[in-house]
Amino acid sequence: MKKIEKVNKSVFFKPLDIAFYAIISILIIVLLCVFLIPKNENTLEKIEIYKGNEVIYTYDYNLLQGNIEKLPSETLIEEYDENNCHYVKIITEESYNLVEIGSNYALMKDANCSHYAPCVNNFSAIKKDGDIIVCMPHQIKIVGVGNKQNSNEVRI
Amino acid sequence: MTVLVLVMAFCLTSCSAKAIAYNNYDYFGSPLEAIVYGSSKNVENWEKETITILENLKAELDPSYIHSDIYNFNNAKDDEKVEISANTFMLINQAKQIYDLTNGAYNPCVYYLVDLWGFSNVERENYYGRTWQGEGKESYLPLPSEDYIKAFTELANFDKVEIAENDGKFYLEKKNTLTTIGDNNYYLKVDLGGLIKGYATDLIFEKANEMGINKGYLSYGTSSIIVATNDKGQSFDLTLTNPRKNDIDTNITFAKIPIKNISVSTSGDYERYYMVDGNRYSHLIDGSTGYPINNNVFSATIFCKNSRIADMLSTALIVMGKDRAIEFLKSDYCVNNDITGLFTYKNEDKIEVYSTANNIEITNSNFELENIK
Repeated sequence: MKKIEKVNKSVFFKPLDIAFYAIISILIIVLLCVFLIPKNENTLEKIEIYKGNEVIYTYDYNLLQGNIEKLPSETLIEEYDENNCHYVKIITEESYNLVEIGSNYALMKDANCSHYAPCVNNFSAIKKDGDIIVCMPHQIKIVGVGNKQNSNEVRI
Repeated sequence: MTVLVLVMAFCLTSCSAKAIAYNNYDYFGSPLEAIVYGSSKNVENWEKETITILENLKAELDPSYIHSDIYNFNNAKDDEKVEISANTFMLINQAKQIYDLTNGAYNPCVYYLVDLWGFSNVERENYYGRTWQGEGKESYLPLPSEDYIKAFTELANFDKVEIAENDGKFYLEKKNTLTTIGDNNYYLKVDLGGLIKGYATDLIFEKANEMGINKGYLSYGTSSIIVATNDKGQSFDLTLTNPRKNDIDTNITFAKIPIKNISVSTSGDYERYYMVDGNRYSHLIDGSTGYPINNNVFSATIFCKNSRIADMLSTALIVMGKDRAIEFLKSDYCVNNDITGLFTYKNEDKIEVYSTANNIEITNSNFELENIK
């Protein structure tokens, strides 16, 4: 009987206990949010333009501006804005590539690699991390950089 | 409660999926991408080993790498013996086996034809008797002339390559390949691009397994994939690219198939091609005719245990055309070596999918499955 009375008199949760469990609960929720809420996989962070295996130009979507990283010899890079798009021209004595960078995509707008220009006609626009457009004859490559995909799908 | 939180935090933070990507032209003109699961240290070491493997392959097999085995052979004249490594010897022999097995449908000697039709990876200096027409943006290079196509088709003959072993050394030699057009002499050249990426994925994945990384996948370019399992040990869903996206519909893919612990290679006429007067000219050249394929087979996919075999056979399958491809997929060679495959074939308004692969699900109403029995 004494024991029952003792239990009845005691407070089930002391204030310190409540604070402790509250902190633990918040920690769990934060951890779950950080690790389990899916990140937006389709956001482009950067567009990289390569000549050969060197990055010569990057466009940063956070800053909304481009930067010439390295100018290969006898190469000219020109930039201009038109119709809400940013254009990058890579010009050498014989070759010409025009890259169009939109708000969430990039594509090869024009090239004189041959009259066929597969990089202009065959490649879909870059819209997510890992998307690539290649101009083989001029060794120009455009690469989308963003969040890495982490799905169960593999495409070939 | 505290213990539970600590355990949860540990589990969540130790999810060690790591994605790596190599986006450069250093290795055979294609990006290498991998999604693998392992401890950060193992993955980091594996990345270093991967670079070493690719550097070694480049030094041996890249035709544009000065003094690689293939560079030396391509620059040799008839009857000049070129010493090659044991590795190159093994690969050349394997290429010859597949060349013979497929009656030349896989042909690594179409080097000049690929360049003639405008699909080589090097900056072109030789336009084979053509000059640019028109001006500025409207300028174009005419299609190749018949005399070059005929001459280079005769050069695309692997039987004119002698592969020899003598006292533990290995050699390649060209026999009777000199071809003269105008003032220029041409000798046979090879390009193992049809198997190098597959071979690289084999080696890199073997190394991953040795280092305890056995979950994930590795893709080289857009055509060669080796798949283990996902992070839960289950299959990946492989989706197959619609070879006529925008022509028949806007769907990106046409089929889905669960796969694990297997190599997959796809060849298709939809990524590197151009249109002239309504005709499609793709990078897939039929060495027996000298022309890009034009047989209504749009794409071909091979599933097997070995990536380089898958690479060679997917190219061969699309060059073979419908009837030969069906016979090949039913052949003892495929059955005995657990090789399955499929190809898409245009039949009037429908695209038929001829397949020996298991569990394939067609996801596009413009495609129709035809199981090969």
